[in-house]
Amino acid sequence: MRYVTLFVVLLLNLLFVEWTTAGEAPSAKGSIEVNYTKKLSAEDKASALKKAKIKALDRYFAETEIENQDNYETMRDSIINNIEDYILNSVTLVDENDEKNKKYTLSIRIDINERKLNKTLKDSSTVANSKNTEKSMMTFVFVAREKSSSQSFDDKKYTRTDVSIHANQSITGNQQKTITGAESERISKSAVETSEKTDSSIKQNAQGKLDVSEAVTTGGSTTRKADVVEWTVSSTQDLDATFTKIFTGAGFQVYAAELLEESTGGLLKTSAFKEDYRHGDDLSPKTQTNAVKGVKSLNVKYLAIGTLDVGLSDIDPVSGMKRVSVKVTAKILDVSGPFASAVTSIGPIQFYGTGTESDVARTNALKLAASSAGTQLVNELNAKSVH
Amino acid sequence: MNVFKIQSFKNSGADFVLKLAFCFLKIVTILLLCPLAQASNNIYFGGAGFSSNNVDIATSYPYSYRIYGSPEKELELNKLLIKKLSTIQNPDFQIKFDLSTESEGKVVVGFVIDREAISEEKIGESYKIVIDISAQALFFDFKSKAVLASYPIAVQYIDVSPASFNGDMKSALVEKLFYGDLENKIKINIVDEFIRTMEKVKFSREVRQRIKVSKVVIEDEARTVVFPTLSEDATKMFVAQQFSKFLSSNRSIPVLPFAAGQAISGKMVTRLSGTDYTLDIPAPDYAIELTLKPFKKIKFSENNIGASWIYGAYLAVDVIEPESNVHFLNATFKYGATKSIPSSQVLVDDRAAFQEVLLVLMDTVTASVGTADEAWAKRYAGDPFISVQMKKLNEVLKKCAM
Repeated sequence: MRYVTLFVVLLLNLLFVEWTTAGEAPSAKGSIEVNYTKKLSAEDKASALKKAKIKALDRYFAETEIENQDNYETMRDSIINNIEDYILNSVTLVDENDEKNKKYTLSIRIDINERKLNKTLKDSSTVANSKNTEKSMMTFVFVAREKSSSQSFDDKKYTRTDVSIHANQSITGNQQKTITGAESERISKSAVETSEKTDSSIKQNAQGKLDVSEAVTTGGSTTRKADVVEWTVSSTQDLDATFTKIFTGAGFQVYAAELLEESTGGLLKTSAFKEDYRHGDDLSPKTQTNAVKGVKSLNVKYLAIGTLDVGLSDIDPVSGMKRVSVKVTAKILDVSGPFASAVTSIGPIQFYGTGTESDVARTNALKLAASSAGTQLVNELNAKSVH
Repeated sequence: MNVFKIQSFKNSGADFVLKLAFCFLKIVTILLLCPLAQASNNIYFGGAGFSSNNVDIATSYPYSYRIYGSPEKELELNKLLIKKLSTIQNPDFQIKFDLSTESEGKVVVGFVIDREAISEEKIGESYKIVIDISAQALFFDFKSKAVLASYPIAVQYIDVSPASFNGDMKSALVEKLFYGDLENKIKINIVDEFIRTMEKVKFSREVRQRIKVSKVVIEDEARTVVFPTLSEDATKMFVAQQFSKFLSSNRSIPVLPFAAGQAISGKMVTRLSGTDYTLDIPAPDYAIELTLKPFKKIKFSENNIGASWIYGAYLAVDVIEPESNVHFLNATFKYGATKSIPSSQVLVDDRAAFQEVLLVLMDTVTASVGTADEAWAKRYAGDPFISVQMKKLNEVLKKCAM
């Protein structure tokens, strides 16, 4: 009796776990058609069910980021050999046996144990399998910024007109032909204007025939100048926490750039990054060289840098709520060699956040952009077996 | 075998370990089941609100918004709903009203208005008004914001007046369709329909199949004849919501909400008690595609007193499992009703007659899924073989029940 109670207790525990996770689990569908020869056997059905589950899992990964797919491809055999471990529930949608055509159709929906699946993929990565002493140190500088001013320039246009006149005449008597022309060019800061005026007149006092033809050729060029954009760089404390969590979770030893500044003798300066990114999309050679030197001097192998550009608020066409976009560009440099080299880079990628107010939408967009970009960088590193 | 093995350790040190494990599991189970017992059957009322997918609420629901758009009126409606919901007895769940913080597994139900349509037309010397209000008892996960179930409800009111209905008159009628009519002229109201739905619906978080109307095609002739005042999207919405309502109520199953363009976004924005929720609508396991075909009016008989006409509605219903592309039901159903029109009646409201037969057709088809035999199939689909398909659909709908 006691063991029956024990069994019930265990069962209830299991039930509880299933119940609480059911609402959160992502799902995927898989469908399979099996042609059989004589009669549909239990083995045929079991085999079809497993294939449908594999198809559903493949499909789930096919709809995730490419780096995640790469990681799945590496671990696919191992995962599908233990596929039941990664499936919370399986629901049969179609189970049809067409005896006439000897065709069996099975369609299912599976609820995926995403947490366990992600853990398996993460545990299989090179960095996760490295010993603590082998795990690389990493630091990062990510900057969130918004446009503070933008100076646009009008197009500079140059227009040229060529006129040629051909005349064939057959006359008797006196004739006088006058062609007067004037060409002017006006140059201002934003435009160059050229104009030409041609007057032709023919006076004749004679009987005869005159054919005049005029050909006009126009051409020119337009010069455009890029906008000069100034940015307001905002605090990245929330983003730093997100990036730290993701990189640490992936097994790297992560250090906040601000904490390393003093140890690098001021070579790594987050304020220099912010100042450079205030004026444009590129770091100055000095900032970059100093940062690499400083990070390298502390034996930190990787330096991740990037920008998160917050766009203007508009209305989300789906929800009608306020929407803000964030464009992310990031790269990770390996500074351990004689020269810094990029091991991976992402972007620009656009993310959107929505909310009832612009501020809420902005925060949501930044959170989403930071976590998605961080995850994508980690997936890329895992796919390249970087540790 | 396992029992034998365990018993063989009865007097050994392992027995102590077993006892300890047993006690530990018992404590853990009690600790886990305490909140479960409280939480598993609790549904939290999220208030009344509007479905606001890409729409301006005040523009899309002008009269409903006038009735409870302001915070004061909203509070008034919520108080009424809370009072009525407090009295209902549903064996599947208990309704709680202290929705505050997000927590794992918390399920919220909202009273969500998703359609308001008022059309008025002049027929002869009279003015006819048709008011449609549709809503949902919408269940969703408070944390993940995933839609778990939706039970559609709808009320319609038709009236004729010698004078045109002005804004205040329309507003008064819509108010009665919300709160009820003291003069008892309007027998139904959307609030009581919601309460009735909450009394009888089944809800559980167990894994089950999901169904929804995913596509509606309105053939041109059908729209211009019967729904000339509605846009194409509004007509599709009307057809989808009415079909979903009959399917849900006749089969006691939840039906995921339909929205034009929703297949792309899979999102539904809902404002409940002043809070905006962007809800995820899961992809359906079974998709219903409806095609409304042109209506027909055929003279049946005629004499000195008047003529008898048959009004016919035709609706093609295709139920598919999209992954395997297996069709469970693919048939065009028809329904005709006779209407006698006296010779003295100059103007005839054909539109109302067509709408009525369409609604009866939807009701009949959804109610007959489990019982349709060959005779029924021959009569309503013109093909006795459709009864086999109806049986297949019946099995599908059983899987969708809570």
